[in-house]
Amino acid sequence: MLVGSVKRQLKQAIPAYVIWILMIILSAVLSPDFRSVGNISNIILQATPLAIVAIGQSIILIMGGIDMSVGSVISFSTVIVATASNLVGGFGSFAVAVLAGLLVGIVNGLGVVYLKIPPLIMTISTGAIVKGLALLLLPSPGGNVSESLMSFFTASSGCFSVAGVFGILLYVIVTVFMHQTRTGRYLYATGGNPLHARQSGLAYNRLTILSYALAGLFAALAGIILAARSFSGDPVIGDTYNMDSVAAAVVGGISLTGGMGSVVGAFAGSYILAMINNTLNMLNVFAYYQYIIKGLILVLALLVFQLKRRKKYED
Amino acid sequence: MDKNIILAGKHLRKEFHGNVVLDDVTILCKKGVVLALVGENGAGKSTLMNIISGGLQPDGGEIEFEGKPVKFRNSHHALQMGIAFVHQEFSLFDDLTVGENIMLGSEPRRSCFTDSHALHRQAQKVLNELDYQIDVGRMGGGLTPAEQQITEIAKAWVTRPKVLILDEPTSSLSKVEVDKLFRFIGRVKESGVSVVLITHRMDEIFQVCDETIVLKDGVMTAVEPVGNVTKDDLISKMVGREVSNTFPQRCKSVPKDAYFELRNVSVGKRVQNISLRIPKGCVIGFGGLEGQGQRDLARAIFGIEPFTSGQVLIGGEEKSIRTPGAAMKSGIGFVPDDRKTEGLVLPLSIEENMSVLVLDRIARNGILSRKRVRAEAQKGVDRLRIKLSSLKQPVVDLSGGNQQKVVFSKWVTANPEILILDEPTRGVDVQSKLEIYTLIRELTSKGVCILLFSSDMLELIGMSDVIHVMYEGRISGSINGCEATEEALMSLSSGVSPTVKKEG
Amino acid sequence: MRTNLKSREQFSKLSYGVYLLLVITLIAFLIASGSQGSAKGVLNVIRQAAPLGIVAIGQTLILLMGGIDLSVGSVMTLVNIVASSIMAGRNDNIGAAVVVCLLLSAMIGLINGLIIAKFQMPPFLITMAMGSIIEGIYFVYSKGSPNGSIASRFRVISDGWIGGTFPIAILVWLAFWGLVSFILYKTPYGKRYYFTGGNRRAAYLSGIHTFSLTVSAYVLCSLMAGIAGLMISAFIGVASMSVGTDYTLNSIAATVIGGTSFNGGIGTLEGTFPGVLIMAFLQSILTMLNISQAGKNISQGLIIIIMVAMNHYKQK
Repeated sequence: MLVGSVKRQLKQAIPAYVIWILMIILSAVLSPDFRSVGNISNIILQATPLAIVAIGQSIILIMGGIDMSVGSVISFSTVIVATASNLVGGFGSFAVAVLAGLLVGIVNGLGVVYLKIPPLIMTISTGAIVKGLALLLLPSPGGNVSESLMSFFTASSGCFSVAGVFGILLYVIVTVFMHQTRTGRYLYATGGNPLHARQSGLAYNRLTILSYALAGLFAALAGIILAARSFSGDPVIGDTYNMDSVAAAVVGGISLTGGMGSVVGAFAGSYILAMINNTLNMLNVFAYYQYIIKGLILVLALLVFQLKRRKKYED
Repeated sequence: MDKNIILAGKHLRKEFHGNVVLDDVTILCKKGVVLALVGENGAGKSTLMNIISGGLQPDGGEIEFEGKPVKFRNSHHALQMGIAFVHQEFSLFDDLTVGENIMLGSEPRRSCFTDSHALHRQAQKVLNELDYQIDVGRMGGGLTPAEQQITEIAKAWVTRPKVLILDEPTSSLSKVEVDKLFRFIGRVKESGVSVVLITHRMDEIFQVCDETIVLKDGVMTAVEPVGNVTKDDLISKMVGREVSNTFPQRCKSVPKDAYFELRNVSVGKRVQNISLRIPKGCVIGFGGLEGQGQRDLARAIFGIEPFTSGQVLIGGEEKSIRTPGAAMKSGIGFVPDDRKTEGLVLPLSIEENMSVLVLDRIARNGILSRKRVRAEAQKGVDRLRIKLSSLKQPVVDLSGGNQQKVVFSKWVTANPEILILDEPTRGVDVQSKLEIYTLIRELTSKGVCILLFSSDMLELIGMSDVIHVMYEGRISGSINGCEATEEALMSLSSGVSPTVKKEG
Repeated sequence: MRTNLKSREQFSKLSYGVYLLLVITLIAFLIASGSQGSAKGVLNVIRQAAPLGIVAIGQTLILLMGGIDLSVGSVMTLVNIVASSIMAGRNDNIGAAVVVCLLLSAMIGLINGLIIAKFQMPPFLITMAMGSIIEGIYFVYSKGSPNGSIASRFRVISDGWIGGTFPIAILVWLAFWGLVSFILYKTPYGKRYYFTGGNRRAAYLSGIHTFSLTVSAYVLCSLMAGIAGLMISAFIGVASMSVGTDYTLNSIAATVIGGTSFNGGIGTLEGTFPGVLIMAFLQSILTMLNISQAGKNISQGLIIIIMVAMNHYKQK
């Protein structure tokens, strides 16, 4: 089963899983409350939006780009779900949000490919525009999320909610896509050696637009879950997800320069980040420390992987 | 038409920026024939091959494939029709395995998923045909140049081409590997494939090729079956031309005292144990085929990728040069071979580029005045008669020759004692070349040591007081400038002459 | 390649284009203000743009050098909170507050620069992470509810008008702008920004110490952000957790309008000046139309995309 570059890429995710498991063990030992079903399902519900948006960001990073608009797309998605339900019903608003995410992604891709605007600048700018649109639609948190949508995603048995399972399912699909299909492999190739990719005729433009579209899609999905959980729309709730999605990916072993790592790692990375909040609470530490800690984790992860990768492929 | 001709390029012509690079060249690739394409650097070989494999469009002439005229949209189009070109520069992917690199574009599938096992098995089969052992599971990023070369060839062979073009395939291979490759070529030939081999190396031509074409300055000078020529014939067809008096006078004798000395220096495996004593006021040339370590030597002296062992002495004192800044402090300057990425800051003006090295000198009390910067820049412009409309022009607007003059002049402004020139006249027009050569001699008369690294043999012969030829990281031989001939240099570069003197 | 004068003409045309844009925006502003428009009104908008003007100076420097600094907004907020808390409304604490804030800013810039230069990390990510860390720091420092206020005498730099006609804030802005322009254009150190940004490799091969240049650039940028933070504190008089948020993107937009490129080496500090003014007038108009926050974001994003695309086109 594990033949080819897949093995190498998956190995990058191992540190994240090790850390995650250690975190779980530590928390479970230090605090009995941690092990309660309520807490675990809470963690899963908290982590899932980040985990989902991290899928999209991972694809982009692997392909050698960056997407700083995902945060705004998440916010916009919650806003759509909170305002459109009255017009098109619960699952109608789901569809509209997804379409909006795809559209933003395609615009990003077009700007990068045809206007030759660097991905960072393009996505920061579309992010600002989308944020503005979200504010126009819903100036302050509120709105009306459809009941059916909410109950669908938050339905649970034990600690496993539909949302959580949904997240895992998405990971499985994308992991198979990235590692077992031609397109997935071409994304890796393009990220690692963009020059050679263009020379080898790997449909660079199409691959780029596809990646950004997917990032937009997953951000939209993340937003929907978020709205279902909090039962409201919020035009600025997505802001932290820009950095967090990158952090989740980097901790999960994905290289910023492209071509290395696996989406699978972002799953562990997302849960690690989501659990920080939870752990801080358990330890009775002031919640705002999380901003400091998350920033430090990102820088630390970068340093560690960067230093390891200096000797990239020398056996 | 002759049924045996698979691919024909007839009366091909190509120009770049007014320079005629190929003039009325006809090449015929026949079934089961191995054709050697020979010529020195810049003769037009790669351009010719790019044209008949779809990478470039010709300005004149036509291409016929299996008897029918054809126009390739791009190299993929040509590849699909059966023409595979293995380039000199590799384009493998670091993050894919050897197998995945080889099978790129022809991956086996099971429904919509790639069958990795089948993929690697097929890749292994192709490598077996090449009689070469590489673990197909290894990542592309960790391969040695030799392994990369074989992988590239395998990648081309997987497509079962009708025409296989190999550009200098043996430059990274050992003797044993070369023999294996040639046996592969022999088998391939028997199955009816047409092979074109671009090479410098004389014995290879005679070992495996059936016919040869010689290009010199874009023109065909010989098309012969291999049996009809000798090595010397080929060499003279490649280079024999009038060495006209376009170079300023050399110095009469080489002074004995060394100002600049290298003792047993090495750069990893690429430069091995070189020792040199270089006096003031001379031009020391470094020649040889591309990739024999010249570039690494030049860069090591300037501190870009420092020497891994050995000593550098300037004026008798040992110096530790580990960065360009340190090199400059010791009086060393460096005119790089790639002016666009290393020599100039393209978006900035001529005036700014000209003054970058001497900003501190120009400033009075730490303040730069426009007037003084301009005056210094004007001096630099006058020195080499650079053609421009205004000093404020962005340097990117200048012609290649004038750009090179800017790089040159900027370094002269800094008054170096040792100046390294890496391909100083590449892409420069004849008039500018002359002006640069004159300036070089002026510098030597003022006592500057010039280290001239060049692949242009005429330039080396015309300018150098001594020429050291490099081969595989060492100096394979040295000739005095006034005694050097192109044939002698070519022989030393190809490792052919049985009387090769190894230094050190 | 023949000499191509056309590209130079296009280049200077765009510089005039910025001023044209400024005039258009100014006129739009006056129209939107209707009966309340006046010279003093215009000066007032410019006065309120001074903090943006100062932080944009630093951002321009960084962009010229080929980097980017996404932490400037957070630095401004941090300075606001720390200054308010140290001053606690008392005039004799002004000195201490200013010194501490400037030191903090410089230190942040130092850390940014060192990590970016030493470990070759992408600037946007490091400065973004730093921004988040700073946010956490000021949240923790103020425990979620900022306290203190700015001393009244300090507020002169924002509220004062010389002879009742010209705002001191604008003078402060012009002073810093003049100082940094001098360094950038008239000193070898400043010139090296252009070389490093235009082609880092070539700059290094010409003996420029790109490492120390990079570090000092980030220190300078953060200092500018700190000074801007002090000024905005003088404006609002109290501590606020979100005071700096918009400034990051705004400083980038203003710089880009002025013709500075993200590739580095191309652009001017003069261009950023009208860029700031354009952003200021634009956002006044949006406030008057009651779509201030949404409008700000959309206009920032659109402007950056349009300007970058135009700059690219111009450089072809």
